[in-house]
Amino acid sequence: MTSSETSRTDSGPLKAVRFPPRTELPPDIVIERLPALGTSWYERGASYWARRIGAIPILLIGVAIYVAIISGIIHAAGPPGSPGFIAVLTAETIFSLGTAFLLIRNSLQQAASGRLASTKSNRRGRAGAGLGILVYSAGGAVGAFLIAISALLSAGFMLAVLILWLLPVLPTEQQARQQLTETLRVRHNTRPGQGPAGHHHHS
Amino acid sequence: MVDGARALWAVPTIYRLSLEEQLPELEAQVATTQRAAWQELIAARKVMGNAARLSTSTRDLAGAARQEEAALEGKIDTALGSETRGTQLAAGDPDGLDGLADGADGLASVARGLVRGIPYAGTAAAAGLTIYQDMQQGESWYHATADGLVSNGAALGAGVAVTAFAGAALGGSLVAVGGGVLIGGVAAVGVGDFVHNLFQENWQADWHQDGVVDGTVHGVADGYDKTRHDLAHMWDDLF
Repeated sequence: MTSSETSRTDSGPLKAVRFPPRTELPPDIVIERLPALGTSWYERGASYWARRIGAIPILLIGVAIYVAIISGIIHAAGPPGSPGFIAVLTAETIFSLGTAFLLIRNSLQQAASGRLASTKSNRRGRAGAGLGILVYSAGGAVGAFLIAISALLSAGFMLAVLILWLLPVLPTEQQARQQLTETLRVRHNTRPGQGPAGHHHHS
Repeated sequence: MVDGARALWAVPTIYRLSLEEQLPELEAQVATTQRAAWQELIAARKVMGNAARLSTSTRDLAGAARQEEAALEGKIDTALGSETRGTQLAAGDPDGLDGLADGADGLASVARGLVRGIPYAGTAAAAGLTIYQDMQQGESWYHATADGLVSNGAALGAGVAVTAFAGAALGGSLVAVGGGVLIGGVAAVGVGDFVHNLFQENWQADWHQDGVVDGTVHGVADGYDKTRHDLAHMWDDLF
């Protein structure tokens, strides 16, 4: 595979890239350590899939806990079928799904743009982080309050984490893979025949 | 609750610290792309002399790496502006604690350890309280001890795990860090209460009445229902 083919494939949908063995990597190449995954994303071996699969029941329990909390809030608004009950149920549903949608979209956009993408992609990444900037610019106390309301009183955050976790490649992992691919490609272009980019192939 | 309040208060500093963790990697990226650019240019000048130019792709990669680094440094500067000594203390950040312990050698590291130990201290205290309350209600010491240790250990584990999963799934933005900390706290409270309710469940009666499989399903459902009521009461108390 040529370097241009590598680049074209990486800028598309989330796909797993297989890298050469760690022992063949140049010593100055650092494999990024991701939360919960460590560096296991590099090989995507047994340790990686054990972590990915092991997290699913915990996240499902997390969603069930949010369902419990939200059902308590809804029942506190009134008996089933009452206007208060329906209003809070509708608001919670819209708020949770909306929060989840925004978080998932932002995460996927950031993963697609990558850290070493073009200026255009950087602008897209910043737009993806728009919610964070909005909350940030709202000021410390107000921003923290908005995050707290979103995270405590809606299931959006937990839903987003669960849905993203079910993707074949996590957005942060995709970003790390893309960055490592770019690094290896630069080295390969500089010293033809010596870099590890020639070992790349997509699974 | 103390740990939850600490975590919420610490969000600005946690966010800044997570940004700073990304900086060395980007600096290495800039160094790699710059080195590659120089090597390419030197090789080209040997052939073409002063007419040699960098290829577009190498120039773009080097420029993009510098832009990414500058953008991250800008974010860190902005994040620093929203921090206070309180948020630094809550996050156990050395900057805030060194200032607090000015003139007292070693006190900063002790204070940092104490702040970061709050989740563990809170878990130990909660386990002790659970054991005490259960024994006051007439439970055997071993059942109360197992309940206290397992339910609070599960709460700590669930909180840490969910926060890590959120970080892996959502990335390191302010919203992701803040939300991850909070949903980790919610998971800790919910899982701890759920496991406690499972300990309180009368499993012998469930199995005797419905058989092992149906009785287990009934017991878990009953534990979840009790957790739902507990969380609803907690919500009423808080708001």
